[in-house]
Formats: sequence, C-alpha cells, structure tokens
Amino acid sequence: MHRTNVYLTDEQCQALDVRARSLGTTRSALLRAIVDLALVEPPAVEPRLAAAFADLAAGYESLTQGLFDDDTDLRIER
Amino acid sequence: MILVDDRLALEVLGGRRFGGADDGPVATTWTFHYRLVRALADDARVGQLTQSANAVVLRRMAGSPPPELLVVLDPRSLTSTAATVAVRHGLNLLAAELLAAALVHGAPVVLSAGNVGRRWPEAFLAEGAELRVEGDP
Repeated sequence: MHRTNVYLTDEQCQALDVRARSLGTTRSALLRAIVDLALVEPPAVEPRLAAAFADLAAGYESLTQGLFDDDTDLRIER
Repeated sequence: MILVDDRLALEVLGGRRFGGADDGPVATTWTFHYRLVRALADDARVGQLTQSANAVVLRRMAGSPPPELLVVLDPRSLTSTAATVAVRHGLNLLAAELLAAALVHGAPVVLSAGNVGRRWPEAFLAEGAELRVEGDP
C-alpha cells in the first residue's frame, strides 16, 4: 500500500461517503475499487480514428490482398 | 491474455472489446503486428477503404498501440519455442510465433476464419493450445 494525498471537492467527498456507507465499506476502500475499475477499462480511441480502423477491418481482404503471397515467413499457408 | 491476428487487432483499434476483465489484455505477435503495419503503409489501399482519418495518424497509432488496448509481444522470449514447433509441425515464422506465444503465455488464440493456415488447427491441437476461429472463411 502507498499513502497518497489527493484533493477532492466537497461534493466528491460527500458522494463517496454516502456510497461507502451504503456499501458498508470505507471511503479509502471505495476509492481503491473505483481506481481498479478505471484502470481495467481500456482507453477510448478517438471516435474518428476508431471509425477509420473499423473501416479498415471491414475491408481487410482488399487491404491485404496479395500483400504477403510471396513472403514465406508472413503468408497464411492455406 | 487473448491473442489475436492482424484483422482482429484492427477491430480492437476500431473499438471492439474481447472477453472480460478476467481475460486480461488483448495481444498480438510481432509478425502479425508487422503484417498490420505493413498493410497500413500503403496509402492507396488505406485511402480506398477509409476517409475518416489521416493515414499517417492511423499508422502512428497502429505502430505503437496503447498497451491497455493492444499489447505487441516481444518475439525474443518466444524464439526457442517457435523454432521447436516450426520444426515439429512444418510451420512458417508467422504460425510458429503465434503458437509459441499461445504456449509460453498460456493464452487462447482467436483468429478470423480467413487467417487460419492449413496446418494450424492440427498443430495447436497437438501442442494443447486453444484456437478459436471467428466468422466465415
């Protein structure tokens, strides 16, 4: 465990305490759980970039067509 | 950890999520990552498929994806295992590295149907590695 000081607003502290009481836990334990949850969630890709990658995935066959046919190390040997 | 091919890695960058928190990170091998980056290096191909973002920006992100999103495995820790399974099953570098990654990391592999080599299912089965296939070939 590492001790760290974080400035929270009055509203955040109040909301944390209400939630902690309702869960039968402490403010610290609740904060640790919230941090764990936030770190598990992957960062969101900017929507414009995500849309572009989704386009490329949908067009994967034409994106890669013939690209590795002559490369014995990288081709899918069917 | 879940291992994916280049097509599914593109889907991950496009916002797709695999499994749950217990499955750990989504990862790909160096050779599949190279295939992905090599494909994106062709401006004409990329331009035909998307106008949503600049190809340079796409290449930069695909070349160094955020590890929270997609891990690219260091091939050096896989070299010995890859060489062994390559000889044992007659696999090329792409397949040998993938199977080695599955064995070394104890991770399931998920491939799109068009990206399954002829010898791969048998080799994975013989080595006790999990191979899942998605979609139609």
